[in-house]
Amino acid sequence: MDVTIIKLLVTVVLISIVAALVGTFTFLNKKALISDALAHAVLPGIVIGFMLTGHLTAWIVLFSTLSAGWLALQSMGILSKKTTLHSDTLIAIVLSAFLALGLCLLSYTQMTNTFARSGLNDFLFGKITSVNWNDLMMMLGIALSTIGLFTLKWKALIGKSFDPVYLKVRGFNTRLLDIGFNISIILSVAICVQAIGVVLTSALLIIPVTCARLFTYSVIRLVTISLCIAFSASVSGTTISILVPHTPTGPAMVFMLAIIFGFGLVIKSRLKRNT
Amino acid sequence: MIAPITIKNLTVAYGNFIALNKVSFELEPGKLIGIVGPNGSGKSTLLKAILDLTPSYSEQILFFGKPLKEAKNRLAYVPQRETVDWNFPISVEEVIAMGRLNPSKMIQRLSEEDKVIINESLLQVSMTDFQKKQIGALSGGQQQRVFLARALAQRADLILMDEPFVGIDMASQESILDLLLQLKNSGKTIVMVHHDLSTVAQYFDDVLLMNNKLVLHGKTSEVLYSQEIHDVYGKLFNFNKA
Repeated sequence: MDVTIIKLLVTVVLISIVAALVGTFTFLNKKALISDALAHAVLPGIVIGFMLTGHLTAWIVLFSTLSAGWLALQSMGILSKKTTLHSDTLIAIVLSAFLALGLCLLSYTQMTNTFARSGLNDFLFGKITSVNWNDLMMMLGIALSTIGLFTLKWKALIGKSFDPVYLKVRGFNTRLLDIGFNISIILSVAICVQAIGVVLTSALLIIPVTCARLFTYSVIRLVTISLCIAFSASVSGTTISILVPHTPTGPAMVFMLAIIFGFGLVIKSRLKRNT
Repeated sequence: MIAPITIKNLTVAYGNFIALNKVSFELEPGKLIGIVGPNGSGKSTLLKAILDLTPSYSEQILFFGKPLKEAKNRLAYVPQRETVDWNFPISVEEVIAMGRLNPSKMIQRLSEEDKVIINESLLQVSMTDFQKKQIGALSGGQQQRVFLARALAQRADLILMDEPFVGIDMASQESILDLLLQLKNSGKTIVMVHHDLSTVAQYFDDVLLMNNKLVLHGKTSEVLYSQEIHDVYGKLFNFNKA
């Protein structure tokens, strides 16, 4: 098999695993909007990272994503403490403010000479074929640490999602669990943005699990079904973007996700009618 | 016998509003105790404050003679119904298994002993037939029984419940009450926020009457026939009329 295809397949598998795990718990914790805000918020981080260093290696992307994501999360936290605004309102504000800054900086860097080969534009709508071996190693690292966190803390994380107060009263450090989970959301965003782009990353986290939820109420099955959905949408979306010229990967993948979700709804309604 | 809860001068304030003013009491073990009072009298706040779920000031809060940190495994909290996401993909069995989680362990895995305890707890609340069901597929009364089973699986000696009977029909209330009486007779202490005055006499041994402070603490009959309860609820009644 061609090396490029192997690389693509490995990327898709890693992204799907992380998206399925983190997406399921994002859904269970009702953090879909927050993950969307974080995905948008990493754009200025990545652009600033590029402006400061002049190139975009995997590590620079990782570091910029982490800092921008963390900053966005903290600003949402502070706003919710200091104001009486509803969370959806302040998520919308933070999301648009970060994205606006990112777009301004992106336009600004477009005037520079290095821009053409930077690949910065790929972060808007994603380009899975631009992933190189270094990116792949970073993805592998993130995937392994995500799997590690969720395997170790599986029951505690489910318990915290369902009844955080009970766990807190029992003496669990729910704050630490929250921090670990938030970092895993930002890391998953960090690897998804390369393939899907900041605009649509949260779709890969949320749509698979929402579709899986139509058919099961077991968390382990939610993760498994999400993984299959994320994988098939990624593979088909990538294929479309390779076969049809000028089709960005991210939107193609998300469109496939939407189609699968549609099918899911139809199958579910058929099943209901039969029982 | 050591008091399950001892509190000295507990105060909770939100800005200028004093939700609880210098509350002090000591509960007796092996009893079913009701926290009653009008809306906004600080009943739920009291429960949250003693569990450190809301900021408060106090001279002393002890559970079985020990600070909260050292007594955490002996107490179980049953949340208010409306705060629970009943659509959550979790089965009856998994909710009860939460009672066997151990905060001091790095990895949470159920041992054979844990599984036996979970089955016993299911049996004790007569929910064995429903163990695989999703929690939202149960009736309100069954859901409360599952939360009690979780407290049983935890081997808690003190069960704190926030308005467990809201939105639950009379027949289910009776069956939960039967279960609570059994637990009480086996030596457990149950403290419950309760707003329905008409059932207080039937349910509780002791009552804490709240009105942003502890108005009266005593045997149910003493509290129900006191001048204080008229003062607390009468004032509210006149206020409503005006």
